[in-house]
Amino acid sequence: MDERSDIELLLASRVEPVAFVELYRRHAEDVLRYFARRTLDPEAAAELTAETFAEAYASRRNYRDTGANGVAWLYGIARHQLGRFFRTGTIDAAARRRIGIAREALPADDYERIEELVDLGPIREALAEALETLADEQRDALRLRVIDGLGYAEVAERLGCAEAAARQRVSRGLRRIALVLQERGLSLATEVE
Amino acid sequence: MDTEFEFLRRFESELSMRAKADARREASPTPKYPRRWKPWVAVAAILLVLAAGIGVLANSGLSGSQASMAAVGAARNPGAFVPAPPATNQGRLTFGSSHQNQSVRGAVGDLQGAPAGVGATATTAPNIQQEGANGSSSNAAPTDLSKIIRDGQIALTIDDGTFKAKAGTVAHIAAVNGGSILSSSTEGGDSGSFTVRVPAANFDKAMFQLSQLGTVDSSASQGQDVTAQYVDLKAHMKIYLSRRKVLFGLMDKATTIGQSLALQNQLDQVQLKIDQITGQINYINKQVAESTIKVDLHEPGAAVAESPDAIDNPSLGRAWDRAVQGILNVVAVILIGLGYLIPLLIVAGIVFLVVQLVRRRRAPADET
Repeated sequence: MDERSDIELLLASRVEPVAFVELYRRHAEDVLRYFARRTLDPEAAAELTAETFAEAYASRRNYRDTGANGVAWLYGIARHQLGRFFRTGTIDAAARRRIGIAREALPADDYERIEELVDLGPIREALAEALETLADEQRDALRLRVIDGLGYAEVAERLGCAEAAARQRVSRGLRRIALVLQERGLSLATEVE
Repeated sequence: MDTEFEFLRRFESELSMRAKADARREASPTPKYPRRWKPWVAVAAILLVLAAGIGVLANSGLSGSQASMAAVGAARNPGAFVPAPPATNQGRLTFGSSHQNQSVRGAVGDLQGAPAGVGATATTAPNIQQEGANGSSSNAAPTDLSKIIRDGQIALTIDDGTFKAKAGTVAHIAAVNGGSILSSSTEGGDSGSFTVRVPAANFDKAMFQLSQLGTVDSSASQGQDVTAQYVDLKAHMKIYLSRRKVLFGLMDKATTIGQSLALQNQLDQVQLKIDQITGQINYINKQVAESTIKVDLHEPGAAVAESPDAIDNPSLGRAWDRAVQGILNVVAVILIGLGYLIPLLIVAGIVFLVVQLVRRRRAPADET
């Protein structure tokens, strides 16, 4: 276990790249939660998490110790990624390409685990309104999954499609809702980093 | 990593591998240039090559149009020397070019070689030779202060056995035009070179008469514009004359021997300058007033006499000048190319941005 502080790890990672991996271990889940609660989309949250850490690794030499917590710098990058996601609706993979890490599909089990990170309580009402803006197939998939709480296998069975397709409909539907809620100025997360 | 998320573990594994690879790379000597700059260097190099290519094309297109314009001029005015583009940028103009086996008919293009109307300044400098080739320019209405030294070359093939007679004719042409033969050299009795000096006013006439001696192999005339140099000298002369006038006035008022000696010393220096400038002005006037024509005559099959001037010795100074000229030419070509390329790149950039904007706007819509 590395005893160094986040700032020390970031500064050390300039000449000792492996130190950055420790920083990743400490904060990867928090960053994933940060994205999951804002995008409502497991796929987008995972992609944004990977891209944020790739960007942070690629630009670790630009980090300057200004006295603030080193994690603030990491979340600065995360906010930048999130802002771009809401603006464009897409997730860039430029930083991952730059450091030579391939884009990978999200494992099926991780989908449900990431959804568990999302606390839908505070936005349940707004969510119902936002659901009306979706295409029928996405709305049906979302209702079965989020409101009725069915598993993906059951959602797929009810909709008469493959499980992967059901997962994609839910994912895209959540992403769309996140965008709509963002446009309406509704906060999707309650915690403050 | 102690997490239930598989993708986080996978990413950690990849990140760790990357970090270890970077650590190994950091331990070895770093490359001179970071890898991320390489694409930009390549793009810049491609752009430069593209710009140079376009510049060359644009330049050749320009030269082509100039050449065709010259050809049109020649067609409209047959027999006249076709003005060619300036050979250098040092005020030297080249008129005419080689005419292989073609008789030159008509007069040489119009160029003011015998200036007029500088009598007013001549009165302030009495030592300066009266200007104008014919000595009758002071009354000329339009005042042309341009000073152009004109020279010409002509090479002719004459009939067999006529060299001696033609050489006499060259001397005769020089004489009737108020000039003379400055130097001559013959080789084998069937070829020779002559340097003829004639008043500038008769330059065109003499060139025409010489061209009638045989078949013209090549002919050319050059005009070297020395007006700027001449105007400078005149301005300096004016300053020194007024300074001399002031010194004369002070000499009259000098009361001590010391003052007189000091003023005399200054006066000597000013007078020396005046004499030098007068010499230079007279030289320019003489060069402008008289033109030099190099005439090469040879019978068919004769060895062409080569004048000492024609021997082209290698010169480091000339090589340097040509090298600098070459660099400037390349830079100029790239600049011309960039002039064409930059607007195209801007348009392409705008199109790219518009396409990106449209795609980004469509992306969220497609997902619904």
